[in-house]
Amino acid sequence: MSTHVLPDSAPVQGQPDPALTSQHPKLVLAGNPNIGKSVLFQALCGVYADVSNFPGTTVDLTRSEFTLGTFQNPVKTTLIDSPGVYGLSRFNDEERVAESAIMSADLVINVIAAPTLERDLFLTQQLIDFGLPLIIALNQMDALAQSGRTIDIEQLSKRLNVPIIAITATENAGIETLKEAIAQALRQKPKGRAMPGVIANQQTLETEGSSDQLKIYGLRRQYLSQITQAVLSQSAQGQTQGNALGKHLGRWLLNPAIGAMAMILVLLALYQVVGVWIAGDLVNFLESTVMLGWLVPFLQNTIGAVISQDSLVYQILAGEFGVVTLSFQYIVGVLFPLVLGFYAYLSILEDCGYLPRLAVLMDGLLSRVGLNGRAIIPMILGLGCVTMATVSTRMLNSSRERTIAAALLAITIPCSAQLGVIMGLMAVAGGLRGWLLFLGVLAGVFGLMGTVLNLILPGQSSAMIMDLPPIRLPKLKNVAQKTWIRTKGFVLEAAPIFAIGSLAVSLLHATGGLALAQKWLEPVTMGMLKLPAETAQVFVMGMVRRDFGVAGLYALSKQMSALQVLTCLITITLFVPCLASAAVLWKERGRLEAAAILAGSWAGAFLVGALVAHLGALLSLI
Amino acid sequence: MTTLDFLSAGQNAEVCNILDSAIASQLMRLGLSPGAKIQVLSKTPAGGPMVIQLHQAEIALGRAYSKKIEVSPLEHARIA
Repeated sequence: MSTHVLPDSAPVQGQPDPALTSQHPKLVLAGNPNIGKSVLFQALCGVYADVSNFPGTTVDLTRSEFTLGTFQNPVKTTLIDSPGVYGLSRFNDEERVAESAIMSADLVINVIAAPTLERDLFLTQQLIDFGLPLIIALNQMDALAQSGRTIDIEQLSKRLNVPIIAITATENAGIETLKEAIAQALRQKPKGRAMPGVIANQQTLETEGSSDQLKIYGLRRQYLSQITQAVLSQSAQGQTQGNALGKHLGRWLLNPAIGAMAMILVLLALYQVVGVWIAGDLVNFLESTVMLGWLVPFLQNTIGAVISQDSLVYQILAGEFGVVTLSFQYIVGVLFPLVLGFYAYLSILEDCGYLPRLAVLMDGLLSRVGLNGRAIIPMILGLGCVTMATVSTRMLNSSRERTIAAALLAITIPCSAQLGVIMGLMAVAGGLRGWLLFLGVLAGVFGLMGTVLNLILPGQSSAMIMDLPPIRLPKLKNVAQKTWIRTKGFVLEAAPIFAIGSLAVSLLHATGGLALAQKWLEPVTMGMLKLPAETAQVFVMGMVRRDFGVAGLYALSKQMSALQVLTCLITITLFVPCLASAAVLWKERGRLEAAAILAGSWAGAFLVGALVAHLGALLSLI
Repeated sequence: MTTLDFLSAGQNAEVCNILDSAIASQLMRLGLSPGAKIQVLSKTPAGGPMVIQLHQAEIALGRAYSKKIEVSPLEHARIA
């Protein structure tokens, strides 16, 4: 079984999407945002697709081989999970990705959430009116039962003339029946009953946008309203509140005062868990007891037994900047526990339904920098991994908003690996005062850069429109799975890059190149930033990955003043993002834009760093 | 008849018309079309978004949208 998440799969006009070329029949999961398509994807083919509790988690196509039919008579297919859309049109990139996948399907598996039947049927009827073969998976039957309502599935199926299978994807209920129905539908290609008045080229009429579009939408809504009234009924005892606590909690979080307090609590808890327990206690224990006390001497002895301790090769492998010793120390001892902790925390936040409510409260602030509340989601995801977050900016409506968000992410948002190391270093960079200065400077740059971009970029940003999902208790299994997959991805990506980067630094050190680089960079490090010359190596490593740069500071920080450490932390944070996120930035936003953002981050980082160094000393801030 | 942004939290209303056709086609896909009954759940101060209940869903709408939605307030109606 194989899965491909293709970050470059935003279709270029005229070119077929690489994810959509397959010799097997293509099954495409389609439905409104945040109704459980990715959960169903996993239930059907066993491959994990990113699942969260906010609309817009899936911005890309995820695909997997999927075998249907019996053991004797297997049918090989390709199953594709598409981003959630309310209808087939091209309002943004997500919709374009979804539309091209859906239009190329051999069979559409239309996932509908039973509790929001009337809303979800719009897409269903549109699929029918476009003449696409489809089958309906009626999901969240458990939530429907909790709200005390029932759907006459037989009648609904008859009116739409499409097979409907009731499922609860999170409980794995109805999945086997669905599989059988899919196999049958793949042979019969059921097309459904178009609504009255539909014409042959309905699709071009609607997706290209025409003056008749609104009229057709209105007619479709009326038609569906009649169908819904006929099939949906409230049970005798009236409306029972399924998840009453979640509902109230969701409403309270929209209150500005309560919402602000909740945000502070969320940040404090994050600081306590990742900053104090993991970055402080756990990493210190690992560093001093496990790493320096045991693993590093063990590695040095092992390597020293084979190679003479005075040789150049030993220096490169296990010396002061030894590739093997440093890689183990930083990746296993420092970054792994930090990133794991961060991802676990973020996964819980993503799954409980808090983020869309935060988006409502942040809408006012974000609209000043040319974004709307929705953009808080890529920003928060950026605290986990900026690379991943840059891809998620596709959930924003216009190219203008995506440019602003990508630039802000690349420059001002520190990722988990970096934040983790920063948390550890803040103790020697002024403690609480250091934090306030650090966050203040980042917020200042965020505001200034956003405001400037909002002024100079042409066009207008869109206003917020977002479905608020219910508040739910995160499912442990999903949190664990998501955290593990992301952490594994991080380690697999970071470890080789770190080894290569530290090999380069190590070689430079052994050949005297590092001393030369330090001399060249002296005007910047010692002059502009008032730092010791040795910090040059921090910037060299920082070019490879920002967190490696910060990690290198650990050793140096003992001979630096608090202000110097803080200057270094701020400069590195604003500095170029890691190689992976620079590559994604290039792919998502194009060569010119990526180059401009990276150049801006270099200039900005050293400028702001110099300001902090000089003003900090002048005003004796720390 | 008034526009949605003049309503306050807790008020019920019926959608009459959406004044901008681009916005209308986006909102209609969500089920917010003329005739739909809604309730205002919250109104974020300082021009922030309004959250409305429509059928069983809660939807956050920026003020730019709510200014374009004509509604007639309902006094004693109950929303399903």
